[in-house]
Amino acid sequence: LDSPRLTDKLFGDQQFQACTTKKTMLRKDYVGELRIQGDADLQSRLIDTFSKLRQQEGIKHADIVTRLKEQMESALNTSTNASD
Amino acid sequence: MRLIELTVTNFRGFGPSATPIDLSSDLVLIYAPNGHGKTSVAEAIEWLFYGTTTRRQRGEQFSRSEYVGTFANVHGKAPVEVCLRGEHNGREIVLSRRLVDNEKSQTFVDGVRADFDTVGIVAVEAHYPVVAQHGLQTFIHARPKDRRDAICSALGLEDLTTFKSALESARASFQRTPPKEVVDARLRLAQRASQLIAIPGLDELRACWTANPLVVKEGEDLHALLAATGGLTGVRPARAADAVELLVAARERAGRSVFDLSLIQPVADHDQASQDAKRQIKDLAAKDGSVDDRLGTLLAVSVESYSTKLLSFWSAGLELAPEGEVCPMCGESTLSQDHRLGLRHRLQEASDVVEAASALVAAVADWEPTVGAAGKAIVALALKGMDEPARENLKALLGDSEPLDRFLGAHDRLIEARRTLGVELRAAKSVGADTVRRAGIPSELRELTADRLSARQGVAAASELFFTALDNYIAAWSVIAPTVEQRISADTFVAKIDAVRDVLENFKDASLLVRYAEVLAETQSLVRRVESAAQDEQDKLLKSRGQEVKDIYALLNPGATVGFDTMEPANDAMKLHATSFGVRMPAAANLSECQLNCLGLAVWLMRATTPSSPFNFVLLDDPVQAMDDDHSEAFVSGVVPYLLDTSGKQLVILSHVKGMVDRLRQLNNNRRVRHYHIENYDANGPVIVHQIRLARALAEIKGAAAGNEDNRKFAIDRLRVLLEEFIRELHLKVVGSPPSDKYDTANSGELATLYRSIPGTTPDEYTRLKDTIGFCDPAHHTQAGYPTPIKSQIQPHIDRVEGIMKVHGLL
Repeated sequence: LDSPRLTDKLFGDQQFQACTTKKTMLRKDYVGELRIQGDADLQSRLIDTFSKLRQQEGIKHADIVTRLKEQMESALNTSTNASD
Repeated sequence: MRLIELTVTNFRGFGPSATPIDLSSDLVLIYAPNGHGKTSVAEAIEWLFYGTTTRRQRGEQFSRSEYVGTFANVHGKAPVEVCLRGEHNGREIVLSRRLVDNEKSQTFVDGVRADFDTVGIVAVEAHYPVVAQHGLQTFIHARPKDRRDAICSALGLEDLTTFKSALESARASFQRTPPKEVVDARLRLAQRASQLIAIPGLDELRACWTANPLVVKEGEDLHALLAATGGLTGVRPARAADAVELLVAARERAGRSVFDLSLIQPVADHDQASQDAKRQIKDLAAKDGSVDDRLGTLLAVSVESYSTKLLSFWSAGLELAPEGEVCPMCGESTLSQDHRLGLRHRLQEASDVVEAASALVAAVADWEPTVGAAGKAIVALALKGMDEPARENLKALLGDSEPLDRFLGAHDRLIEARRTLGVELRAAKSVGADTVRRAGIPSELRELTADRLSARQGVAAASELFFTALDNYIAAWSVIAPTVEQRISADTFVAKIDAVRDVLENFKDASLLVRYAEVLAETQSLVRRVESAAQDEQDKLLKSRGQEVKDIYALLNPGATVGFDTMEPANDAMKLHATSFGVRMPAAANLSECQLNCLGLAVWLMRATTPSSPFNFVLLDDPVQAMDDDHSEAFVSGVVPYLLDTSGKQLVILSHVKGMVDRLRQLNNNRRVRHYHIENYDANGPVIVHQIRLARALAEIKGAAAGNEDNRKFAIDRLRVLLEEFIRELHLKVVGSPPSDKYDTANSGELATLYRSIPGTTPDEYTRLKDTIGFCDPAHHTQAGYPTPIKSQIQPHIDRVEGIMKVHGLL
């Protein structure tokens, strides 16, 4: 672990890791807790989508809205097929 | 993070001069009249850490275009940069943000491009260290929902509120602008439902599907359609697919009562069937050729008559007489060696004939099924055809018309062509079946060949005619088919069957709309869960942090009988309650502006003092606006010590209220205080003067020294007071603390002695200061005959004091 190269190999981008860790320490993951409670497929995907997006620095609210709407649109294809 | 030095360049009200502002004190006071750039200092700190400002965020909600490009100083100089030297986690670092275009910026740590996260400065809403003057009451005068979102952010719940807000927006957009497939499905469903006229049990479904908005109840609707199918067909189906099958059969029966389409309707996949039939005819011709080839071979070899049986007889005979010349048939010695060889030769020749005949038999056997297959293929293509009554029925259905005449002609030609082709195929089959027998009779071989050629040509010609007639028929049928179908469908019963079948066959549209409604419901359910989670967490946090708000409010309103009471979270709202002599009432509607100011200040200070915050400072921009003297005093004497001592924050206060700034200075003599005055504001930005109190006093003395005798006396006295203040300030600056209590009542001479003990001072300075102190000694003034010094006598002392103050950085 004394070798920076070895550390890089083990942990990837150290700077990113440090940043993520600090944020996690500062903010309780309330949205992540919702995922544990939720079992509906669409709801899980909406939570996951948001969780990933919030990691992105500078992500705009409108972009988050668009991505969530895309998830809702794709959920239309999982039809219940009652006619069968 | 504590602030040491701020340098603002071309940002907001700051021009290009980039004068560093030393902030390295526990309490930094910046006084300036309105419009002199105080808020630019606050916004510089906000922008540095957050890349935006609350003012900007708020303004953009109303008009984005008005705020675009307003971070840069209006006079348009570059670079636009805010640079802060500070102390963080025990080491000094330099953070800066530079605008790279009108909106985007880059951050630097110690001059190197990096995010502040990398040094542990994570700027989140819940730690906002700047309390902006324009934002004090935004929390109070807001919709209860926005108020709630604001407090959630202040409590660190912004992820939940952001998620909820994004979900609500996405859901609203999904509902307001549905995907195209949903829009199309709605249109199709409404159109189909409009055809469900007077069908028992489907009135409600029809009403729901043609309503606006369209309402689909998948299970109930399907149940109603299956029941309607039972009513129309007499059999109650269990599934949609079964229902469609029943309706197809019922449609055929019902249609037949109007006109039996099976008489004239081409087979469903007539193109494919036609291709199959053509391939069969081609195959028949090919195999016909194969038979002819074998027949030709048979003709080519010897046709001397040796039947298979005769050859077998001879072969068997030879086998029975392998040796000797006695014939086993007649018992005579006729089987000489030569005779035996001759017989063997003839047997060999006969064997070739038999082989050719066998090949012919095989070819005929191979050919024979193709005749049947070709016949079947033609039958598969064919239609029953109309008899005379059917013909009249069709005429009655369509009325006389040219397309009908063309169709009837094509119909007759097709029926005739099919009959001819049938005759030719049967003839070919007959000739083919007799080929082997006739091939064994040499006298018939020539005639057989001719018959076969004729049959083959007959089939070829008849099939060509048939396929041409078929193509013409299909073309003629396609012209009249829609009209025929329409006339049949016009029958009420048939129309009902068609309508129900159409809906059932396309029930996937209804399923899609149901799924669409489910997606909306699932998303709404998630919104509620997020809301509930935020509510629960908020309730928990408000119990502890809400008390902080109340405590800070109480500091500002000690002993008040009317004032803020509680924040009451509600579903998607936040109510603020006040009390008036024990009676509860809405805070926003009833508290005075001053009290609301106090409440807003308390909320944002609670946020700024969040324990996990990386910011060890709080910046307050005009915190006492709308407050009266008592509240202002409560802020100065209550809240400021709370922030400095209880919360351990470095405090930067910007204000246009000089009395409050002076009072703060007065009450905090025992602290490290830095005091600035923004004297002027021009196109280059604010002109900031350090330690304004000493500078102002000096300016006042200079003015008085040029006046009359009384003024000059006043100037000499003030110069002495200035000297004393200078020595105290220098001690505070260099030693880090005010002089000890024993100097509280010290005279100028004693303070001069103190001056000599301050590190960095020189004996020469001390000597010169002692001389000036002697010049200013009030004892002289009471002496008889004391002549009041003139300006030229006073001025060298003023210059001396000013010079020494400048040397020590206090001017």
